[in-house]
Amino acid sequence: MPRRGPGGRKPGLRALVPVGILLALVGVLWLTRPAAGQAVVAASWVYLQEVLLIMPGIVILMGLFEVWVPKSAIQRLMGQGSGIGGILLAIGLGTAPTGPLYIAFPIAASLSRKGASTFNLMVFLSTWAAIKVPQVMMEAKFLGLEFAMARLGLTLVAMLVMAYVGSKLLPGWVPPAASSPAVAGAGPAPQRGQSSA
Amino acid sequence: MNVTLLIYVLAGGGLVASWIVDRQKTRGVLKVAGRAGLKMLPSVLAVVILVGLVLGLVPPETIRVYLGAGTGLWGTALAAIVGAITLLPSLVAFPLAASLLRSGASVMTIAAFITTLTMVGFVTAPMEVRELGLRFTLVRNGLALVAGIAIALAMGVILG
Repeated sequence: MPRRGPGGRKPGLRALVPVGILLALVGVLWLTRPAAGQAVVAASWVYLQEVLLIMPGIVILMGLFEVWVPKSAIQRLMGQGSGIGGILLAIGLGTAPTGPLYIAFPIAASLSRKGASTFNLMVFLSTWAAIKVPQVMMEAKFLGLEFAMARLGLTLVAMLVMAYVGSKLLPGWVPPAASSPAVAGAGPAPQRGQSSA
Repeated sequence: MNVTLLIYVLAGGGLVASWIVDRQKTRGVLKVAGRAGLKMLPSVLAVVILVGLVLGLVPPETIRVYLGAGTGLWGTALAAIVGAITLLPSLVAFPLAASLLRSGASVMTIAAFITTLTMVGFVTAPMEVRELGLRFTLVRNGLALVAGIAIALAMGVILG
């Protein structure tokens, strides 16, 4: 859906609509079932604190990445045709213990803008989601080494299949308009509308 | 906690190094960071509220009820769906899964639950859509759901 209106670069107030709706939902809940409403607010508050604590660090890392890592490097290492090396790199990046899944999304978008292939992107996201080292260790502790190893192996296979199918279903996919024009000043013009078709 | 520390050590160190090497570029780094942060904020807020809703309204007890109930293909599919819409930190999810296994839930159900819990993000969707687009989000999550069921079935066969 093309986004008209002022400010091609600012997120735009339109982005806040879902938040508004959700807040309204919580408000209704608070009024009709106060106990549940309170539980929701409490949980949100705790989570919000965790998120806000981590965000500055993450965005700085993203900024460093965006400015310092040359597109050519990513393209060569993780782009189309980078083969096994690209896949291994995607897995390696995904497994580094750096936070919840939603942090991975902007990172994935950055990688894609620098030339990583859709296949590797999916590998990265799946790894981040399901095969993070500390997570697997905890899984082994609670559910047994057998379970954890079996799931690990199966997930690896499934993830590669997923990435393959996904890349076939999304040929020529590019992430939606970048939030940040290239820093050196000679950036591309901000794109209009979402290119997610 | 130590993950957060690591992030800030890397971010701080990187920023300092960047400043030393090239001040102009470092200003650019901060600009990108600020812009990225602003862009992420609405969707992050949406995720936070969704998380609150899920955690507040669907306590682990309810999950236990849903997962303990079914077995076989139907139970596995149900577990996959429950995993898809919930968001639990691993610290809570794994002990919960373990206790479910002890009280008789099948390996398949638990495997489905854990796979979709981690890989399918109904709650994180606002963020994913914003960063990666609607189509990508649907494709990835859809495939993850299918993968969850497939993995669960295979686990059932292997670990029976």
